[in-house]
Amino acid sequence: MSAAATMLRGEGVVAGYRRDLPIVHRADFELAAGEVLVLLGPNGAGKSTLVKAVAGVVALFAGRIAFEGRDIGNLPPHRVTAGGVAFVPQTDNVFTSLSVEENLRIGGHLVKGDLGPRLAAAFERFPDLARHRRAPGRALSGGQRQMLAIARALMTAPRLLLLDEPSAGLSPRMVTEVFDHVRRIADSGIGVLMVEQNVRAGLRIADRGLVLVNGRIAHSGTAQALRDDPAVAQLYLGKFAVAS
Amino acid sequence: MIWQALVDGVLSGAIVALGAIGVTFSLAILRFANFSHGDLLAVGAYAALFLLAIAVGSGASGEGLAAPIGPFSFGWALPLALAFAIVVVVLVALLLDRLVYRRLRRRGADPLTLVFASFGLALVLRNLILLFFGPDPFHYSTEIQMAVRMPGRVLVMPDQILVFGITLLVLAALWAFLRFTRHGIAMRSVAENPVLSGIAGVDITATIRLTWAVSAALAALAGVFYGVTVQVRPEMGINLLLPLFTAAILGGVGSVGGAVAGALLISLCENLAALVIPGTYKPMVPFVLLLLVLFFRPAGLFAPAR
Repeated sequence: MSAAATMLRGEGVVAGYRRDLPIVHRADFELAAGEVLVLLGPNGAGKSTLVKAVAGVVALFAGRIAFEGRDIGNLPPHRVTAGGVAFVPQTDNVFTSLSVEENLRIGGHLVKGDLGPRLAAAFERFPDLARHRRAPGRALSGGQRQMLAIARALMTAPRLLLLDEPSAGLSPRMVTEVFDHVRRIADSGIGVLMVEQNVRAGLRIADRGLVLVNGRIAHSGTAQALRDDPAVAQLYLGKFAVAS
Repeated sequence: MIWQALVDGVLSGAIVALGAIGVTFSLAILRFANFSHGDLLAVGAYAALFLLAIAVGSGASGEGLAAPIGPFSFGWALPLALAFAIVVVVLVALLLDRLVYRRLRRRGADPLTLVFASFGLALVLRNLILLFFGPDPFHYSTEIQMAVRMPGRVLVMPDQILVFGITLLVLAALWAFLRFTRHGIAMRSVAENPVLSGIAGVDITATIRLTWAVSAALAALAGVFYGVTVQVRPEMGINLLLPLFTAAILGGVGSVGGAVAGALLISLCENLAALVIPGTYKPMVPFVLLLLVLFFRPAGLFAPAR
């Protein structure tokens, strides 16, 4: 990847909840606009922590995280968002007491002026949400909540989208639907950094992947290369890759 | 008799509601029980008293700005005093947050520490009022006003009707603010999930400041309205604290509508209880209600569903 194309760069990232007990150790990564980079690995490997460090939710203890050339490490989350990065957490990612439209309005909190066109675009992209526009977040199904969370994140027109296990708890049909949306988002020029446990689905839409083990990047490469790497498949990704 | 008690309950409940909303905001958004909130009401009441004293000056009562407006007991000095009280209480609340609560939040203090800090600040505010104004009660006006006879032989003072009307308008404006404005929706989002709010782009620190300002403005209104319809006393804040908290908890923490309903319910129960028990026992009614709601429905009667 050329340096000019890189929008997100992590260098020697050490992150976690306690300085004396970091979860991510010296991780290097980069992501280009319009690219889907999937973070894979076993439970507790530090995938979510890494994404949260980019989002400003988890402390960066050492190293550097730069977005479009500017350091964003340890900025408060709202300033990371204001800089063009949107994050969709794995859980508690919608406001259950707010209506669907209010969730989207909160997503557009940083936008000055009329939110109407952005709301219209969100409802056009996710028609199911338009049908539940006045419904509270708690009334939505798991798949609808995930759609709402992504739509909320897109309200600021981000240039980088961070997704933490968007397929968690969804039916296979919903996983396909959500991932198709993610691919289309990336194809529109938005960079996507995605944590995913569903390896098959994740690698299907990803351009490249990183495999984290014990907080360290153990393997990296194109999605195709990771799928075809027997060592990776056997060690971390399950048997499907070998079979396929 | 019973109709009079019901009407009195609704009228006084409206004032309690203004204070209870501030308590429910502090519980839901600031995430601690602010025991100095009652004394913010008292600060508002005394700030208005201070400005009234200056505005009226040493001139004869009933002249100039003090001259009663129509059937009311007060003159144009009172709206000025109300505006002054709002500014003073908002500034005091923001100052206390800046000097005390924000420092504690940054140090990762747990909610109990904030609660004890609010206890201390309540004592400071109350004793400052005692220091500057003394222990005696005051009235904003000594003008005589004629009660309005309502159906059911109910008597209501014009001041009470006006205060009730303004309170309804303020509550409607607050509802619209929370429902339709970006900062209002942000306050509701922070009440539910501050982490997700920050991720969505909401500046949590700014939202906390806004919450203090809105709560303080409502406290000032409640304090001045209490002064208009009852009297101004240094201990009015501590005396109102239990009804305020009971209303907020009864209504369900975080629910503005619940706080209003809780305040009306408490005031109605207080006034109805006064028909059958000696008046000196009236203050125990909110306490009994608080125990009952904590025992049978700790989430409150109108808690927002999750």
